[in-house]
Amino acid sequence: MLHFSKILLLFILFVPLYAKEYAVVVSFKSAPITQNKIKALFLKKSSFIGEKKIVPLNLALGSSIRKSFERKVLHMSLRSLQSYWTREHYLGVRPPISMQSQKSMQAFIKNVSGAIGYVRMENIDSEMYIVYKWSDE
Amino acid sequence: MFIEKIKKSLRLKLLVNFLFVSLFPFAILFLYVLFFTQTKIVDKSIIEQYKRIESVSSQIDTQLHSLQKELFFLASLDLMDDILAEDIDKRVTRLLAKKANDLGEKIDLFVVDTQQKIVASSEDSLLNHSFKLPVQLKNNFYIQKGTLLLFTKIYASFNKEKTVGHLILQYDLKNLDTYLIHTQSRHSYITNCADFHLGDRTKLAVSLEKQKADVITKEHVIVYKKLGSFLKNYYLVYAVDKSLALKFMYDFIYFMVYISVFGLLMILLLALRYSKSLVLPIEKLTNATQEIGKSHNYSQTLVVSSMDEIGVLTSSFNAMLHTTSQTLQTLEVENRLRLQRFIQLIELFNSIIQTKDETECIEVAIEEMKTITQKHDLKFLKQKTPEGIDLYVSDFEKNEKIYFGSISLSVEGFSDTNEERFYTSIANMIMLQLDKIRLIHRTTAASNAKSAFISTMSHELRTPLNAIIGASQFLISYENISDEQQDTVANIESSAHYLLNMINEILDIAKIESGKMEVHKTEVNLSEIAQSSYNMLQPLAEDKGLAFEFLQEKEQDFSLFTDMKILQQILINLLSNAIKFTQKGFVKMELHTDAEKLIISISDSGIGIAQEDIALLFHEFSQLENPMQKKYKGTGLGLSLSRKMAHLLDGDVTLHSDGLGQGTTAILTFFCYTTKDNTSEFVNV
Amino acid sequence: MIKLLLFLFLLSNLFADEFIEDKSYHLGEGVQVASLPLYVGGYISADYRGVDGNNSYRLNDLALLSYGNYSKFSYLAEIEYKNFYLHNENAGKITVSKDRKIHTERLYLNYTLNENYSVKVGKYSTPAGFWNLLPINVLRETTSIPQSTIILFPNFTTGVLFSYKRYKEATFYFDVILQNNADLDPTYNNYRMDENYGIGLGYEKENLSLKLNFGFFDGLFANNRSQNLYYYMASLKYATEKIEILGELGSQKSAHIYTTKYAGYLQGLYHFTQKHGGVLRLESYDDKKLGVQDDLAIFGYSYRPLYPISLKAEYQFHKIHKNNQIMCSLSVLF
Repeated sequence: MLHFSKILLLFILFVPLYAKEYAVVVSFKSAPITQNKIKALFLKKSSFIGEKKIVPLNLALGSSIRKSFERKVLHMSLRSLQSYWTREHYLGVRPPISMQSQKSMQAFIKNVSGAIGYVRMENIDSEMYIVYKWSDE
Repeated sequence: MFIEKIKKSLRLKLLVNFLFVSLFPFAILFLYVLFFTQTKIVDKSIIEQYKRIESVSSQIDTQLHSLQKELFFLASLDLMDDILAEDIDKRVTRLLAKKANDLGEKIDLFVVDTQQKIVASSEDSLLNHSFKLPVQLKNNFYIQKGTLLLFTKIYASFNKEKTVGHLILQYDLKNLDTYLIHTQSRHSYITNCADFHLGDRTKLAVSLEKQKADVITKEHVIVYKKLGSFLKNYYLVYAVDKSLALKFMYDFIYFMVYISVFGLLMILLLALRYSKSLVLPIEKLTNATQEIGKSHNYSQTLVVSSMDEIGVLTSSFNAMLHTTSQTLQTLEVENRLRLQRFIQLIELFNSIIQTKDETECIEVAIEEMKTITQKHDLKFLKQKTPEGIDLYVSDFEKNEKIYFGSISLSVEGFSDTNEERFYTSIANMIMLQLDKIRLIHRTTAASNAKSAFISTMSHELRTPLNAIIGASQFLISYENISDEQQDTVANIESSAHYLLNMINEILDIAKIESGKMEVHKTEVNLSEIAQSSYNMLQPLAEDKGLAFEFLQEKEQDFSLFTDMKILQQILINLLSNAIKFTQKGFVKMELHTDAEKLIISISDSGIGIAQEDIALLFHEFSQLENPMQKKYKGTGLGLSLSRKMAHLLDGDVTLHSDGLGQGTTAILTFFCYTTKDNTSEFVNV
Repeated sequence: MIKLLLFLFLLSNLFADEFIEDKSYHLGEGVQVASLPLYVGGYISADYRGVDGNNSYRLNDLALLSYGNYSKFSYLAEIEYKNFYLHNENAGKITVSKDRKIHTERLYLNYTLNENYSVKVGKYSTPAGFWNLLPINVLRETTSIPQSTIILFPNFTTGVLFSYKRYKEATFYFDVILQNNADLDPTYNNYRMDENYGIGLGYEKENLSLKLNFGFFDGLFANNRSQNLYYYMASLKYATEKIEILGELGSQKSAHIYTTKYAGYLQGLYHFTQKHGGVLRLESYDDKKLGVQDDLAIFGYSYRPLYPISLKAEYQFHKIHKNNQIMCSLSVLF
């Protein structure tokens, strides 16, 4: 984990400015989604977009992107999230699965229909559709 | 022979029994081992092999099942979702690698995605290759080219409907080698009877057909089992060299032999020693009893040296000895008593027997009995009493018993029958003595009467006869009688002579028979007597024209201690008989001896006697009916008298004849004689 | 006691196999059962209460919950011991009671049609207000439960729940509660009823949540008396990282009169640190049925070394002074 973070840091340092821009992506054509909805999806309050079953994907716990996502999109601290998921456990809901890296997240999103995750803007390719954007200011 | 010996010795019996009992188990065991253990050992080996095979097969099964469980567990991990991202982060690969490493052995784990591409794998070389799982498999495994493949579907953690791929575990069956033993005498292998064979390559003659079986071949004991679950139709075979299995048995047999020999010796020694000590008390007892038997010392007691049966025996023996001793003592006492009684009886008898008259007899008897019975009031009573011994004497004429008297002794008072009999015997003795005395008196009286009669008679009879003879002789001497008258007178004379002879002979016989004939024995020269007798009768023989000889065997004089008168009478009688009964021929008198006796034989060539008539002649008054009887005048008493006289002189007269007309020989025999040279052959009785 | 230990032991056994390097077990998350779409967890709680010379120590909840989802379905089952062990001391007299009966707390099957619609069937916590949704000790900030929750509406419904949700910039939802049968495990509910209908309306935006609930139920009381009771309640929640404000106010009436004129509370929770928090709750209610009117102020303190472990203590000041009490508790969620 540490190893990866270092690489990411380097990456961040040597990559142009809009490296701090992220997007929530899916692999199916979809209209943009409100932040509220994104939050609902990632907090597993809602599991569908329309009729489509959604599989929310997190990056690994230590990931800075994830941290940014949680801070900027979910508006929840780690602690809040932890207590939230504990409560959800009582209510019968499991947290989203997580992927180790962006690459795997991308692969997953591409391979799994209904997967939704978040990546850096520059890592987006043609097969992904952005449903939400945020940046790390 | 040996059996006889054993029969005689308790010790040997014990020994033999001991040995037998001790060796019997050995023998049985030995035989058992020899004959039965082989199969048992083989069976045991089979059982052991079964156990092992079971254990191994279950181990294999467990191992494969646990591998499968691991597989299922891995497949259930959320981490497997990464496969959907093609395991770009290699999280799954790393996990599989670690797991494969942990499991050890030759195992590969890999994940095949829905496109049949190996996306994650513990083995780098497999990555990105395509892998096709055989379609339509009922179970979650299959075997391919010596590899067992376990697989399971992986589902997405967020959506159990979605198949992520398959997790496959590749298990090289060579890993099973760890379960197989390879030693020199133990062989094991796994085979599927087709292309797979793992383990020992030894050729085993076994066809694998059943689920589970054992086979005994010439060299091996084989056990096999069909493995199940993952390894269907695979057989696990275990074999043990027979020699190894039986080696134990052979070793054991050798061991047994050594032990047996050793054991035998031990047992023998022990038996010898122990049997000896067992039998020793018996021997001691035997010796002691033999001692007692020899020494007749029944007052001894044996030492009781133990408390077992032998001790009991010794005690009983002692008791018996004591009883015997006591009995003997009692017997002795009784014996003495009996003896005493006997002696008393004899003494009494002795005393009584010397008595000469009835009164004396009774007196002596009473006295003796007083002493014996210690009853000093014993009396002789003339009347019968209820308590007394009645004495009877015999009446010889009437031949019955007369009551004589009683002794006042109650026989019934004696409890002991022997005592009763004793006193009854005494009474009998007394009665006998009384009878004897009476008899003696009677006989004496009779004898005296007889003697008186004989002497009177001889005198009374002879006197008239002599007168008759004298008178007749006087008459004969008359010149004036006619021949006829002379004949008549001669007849009277001869008759009177005859009568006189008869009277003499009768009186002689009577004398001899009543024992009144006195025998005066002196040394008599037999030859002289014989000669004198010969001389006396010669005229008679000459008259008849017979050759009359007297022969003496040896030129010696025979001396005989005898009565001269009687002897002469005998000789004269015999000679006269010989001459009488011989018409013509000879009469020979011989005097000879043989070893024991002196023989005077008077032989004639007379009328002879038939054999059957010889005996008759010796009876009184018998003459043989003979036509020529008239010729022979005689009283008929001659031979009888001669014989009787001979008997008086310790001799005998016998007649011999070859038959009628063959002549007769009268033999006078004396057993005791002396020759003149004083060599007596026999001592005079 | 042994059963408890066994229970815990079994639970821990379930956890034991699940160690892998990447993901270690955390408290409060439950565990997956093999590769089944089933997760298992549980919780326990123990509390103490001292009121009016009466001390009671209680081992209250011993629960096991399991849930999962498959395709559009999700399901949950929760069973527990309630009042497992109660030790009561009252002026020297000690009473001990044990309830070894296993209760079914929740048991339902949920079907999500799509983004907006879902239906739930079974026994579930009545989605009225906010407190009732997380009623267990470990998930609330005070040991005590506000009276409004206890009095106004049935805490559990055994029936059908239809939900409509809409997520735009704000979240809006609408619940319809339907029950026309007896409760499943009726002993464990604040009301016995065989009819229960309700409507809930909710609005959430950012940190604020508002809710309105109306309903009526046919309460069954002693002497087989049944009474139709109507309730309405308004709820509010405002939560940030540091603070959380929770308030509910409602009333209940029978056909003609108020059974409960009003019942409500306002609770403020302040997180001193991540682990420590302080609570102040003001409650007031007027229960016409019981004839009690009380105002309380509860001062509570909550310590969570880890979120699933809660240690709480509070003191209640009542207008009815004899109801002043102290409470503290320890609870854990697995």
